[in-house]
Amino acid sequence: MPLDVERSDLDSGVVVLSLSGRLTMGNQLQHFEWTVTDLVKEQKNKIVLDLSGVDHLDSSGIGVLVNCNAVVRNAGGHLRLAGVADRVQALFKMTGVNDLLKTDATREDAISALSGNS
Amino acid sequence: MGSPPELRRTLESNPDTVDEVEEAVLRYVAEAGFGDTEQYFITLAAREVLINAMKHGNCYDASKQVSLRVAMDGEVLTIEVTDEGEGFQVADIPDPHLTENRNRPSGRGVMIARTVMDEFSVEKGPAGRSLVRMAKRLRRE
Repeated sequence: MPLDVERSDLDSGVVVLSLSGRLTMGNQLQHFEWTVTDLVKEQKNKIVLDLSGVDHLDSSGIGVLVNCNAVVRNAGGHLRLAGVADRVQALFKMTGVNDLLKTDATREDAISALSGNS
Repeated sequence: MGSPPELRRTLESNPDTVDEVEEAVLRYVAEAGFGDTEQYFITLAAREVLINAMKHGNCYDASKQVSLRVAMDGEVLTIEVTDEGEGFQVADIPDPHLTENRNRPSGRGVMIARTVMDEFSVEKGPAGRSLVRMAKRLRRE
C-alpha cells in the first residue's frame, strides 16, 4: 500500500498529518518530508503525525521522522507522533530514536499536548 | 512439515525492485513456520541489507547486481545478500544509540538487521564481491 498523507488544520494552530500505508524508502517518503518542511516554512510548527495507519516502516522512514523532528525543533516548534504500532515502537527503541521522538497513545493525546504549547 | 525450497533472486541496483522481493521473503519465512512478529522483523532485515547492498555496495550502479539467497537448514533460516562492492566493517558504522549520532538521517538499517537476527556477518568474497550472511533460529512455541 503506498503512503497516503492527509492534512488537518485545527483551530488551535496544530496541524495533524494522518499517514497511512508504507513509510519506506521511495519518492513518496521524500514527498512526505517536503510536506513537513513546507509546514515549517508556513510557520505551522506544532505538528502531530498520526501513524495509526502506517503498516510498515524501514530505516529510511525512521531517518525521515528524525529529520522532520529536527527541522521542526530547529524552528522552535514541536512534533509529536500518535498511534504508533507496537512493532514500530520496537524499531524506535532498537535504533535509539525512542528518546528523540515524542509519542502519544492517540492523536487526541498528542493534540492536547501541543495545544498547551505556545 | 518440510522446509520450503531455497529462494534465490538477482536484482538490479534499484531500490524499487526490493518491494517484490520483500513479499517473496515474507511468504518464505511464513511457510518456514516463523510467527507473525518474526516474519515482520526478518523480512525487514532482508530489506535493509538489500538496500544497503544497492546503495553502499553497488553505489546504485545499474551495471552491478545484488543477489539474494534464503534457505532453511533444519531449524535455522539463513539469508545471504551479495553485492559487487568493497564490503564494510560493522565496527565502522556509527552507533545510532550514541548521542552524537542520534540525529543522523541514516545508519540504522544494519543496526535493525543485527538486532533482529541471531547472527550477522560480513565477508569479503572473490572477484570484488561482498557477502552479508544472517541467520535466525526457528523457535516453535
